[in-house]
Amino acid sequence: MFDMNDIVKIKHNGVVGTIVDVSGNGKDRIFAVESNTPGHIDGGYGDEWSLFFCRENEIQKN
Amino acid sequence: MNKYTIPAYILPSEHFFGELRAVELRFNPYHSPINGRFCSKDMLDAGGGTNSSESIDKSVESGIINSGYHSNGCFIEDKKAIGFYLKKGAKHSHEFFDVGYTEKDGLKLQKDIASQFDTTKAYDKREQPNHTKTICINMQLGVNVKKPFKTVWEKKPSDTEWRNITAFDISDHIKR
Repeated sequence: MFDMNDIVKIKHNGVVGTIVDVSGNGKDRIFAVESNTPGHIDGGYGDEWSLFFCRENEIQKN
Repeated sequence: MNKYTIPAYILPSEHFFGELRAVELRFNPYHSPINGRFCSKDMLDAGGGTNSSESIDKSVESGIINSGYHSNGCFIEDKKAIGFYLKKGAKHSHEFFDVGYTEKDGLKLQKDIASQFDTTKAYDKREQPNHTKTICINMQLGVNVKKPFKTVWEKKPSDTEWRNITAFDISDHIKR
């Protein structure tokens, strides 16, 4: 359903970002969502563009 | 297109128009070991098989086969290079175009990144509860002019090499 370059919203924190990576398969697929707001965001990885690793049920189309 | 021919859209253009044009991309459906193991028909249908070039080797992840560039202990997927970094309109593509890469430079970009992959320069090391490790490595990337880019990598417990997650220009926020 989701793929690289899709812009999505992370349900639990409302962060809007771009899917920059997809790994795994089926229910185990992990989407790396890079925030579209520059800077560190709590719970994210990295300082310039925070990354969040989410399962499919944790994100929605923005 | 032959059923067992790797679709052109998943490979950088250099594979067809450059030095690798003559590489044999077809494989035998009845004898197709991937990473030393034989694959199922589903995997074959997904594009699996053998090839004769390290630079278009494949990664098998839960039945999904991803072509990409393996070197120096790291792996950069073709779809990441040409479907994200060098795709017009994609989030960071202008940062790669600004330093001289073009849409046809997928393989060059993969080689440039892999050649600077060095885990001794890794920082911001994290390990997730599932023991997947994540690191960052800064690199100088560019064709005409080089700029500092941050590259992010991931390695699952079952992986033998680091897989590239993302990369972007950090020249405006150099801290390290």
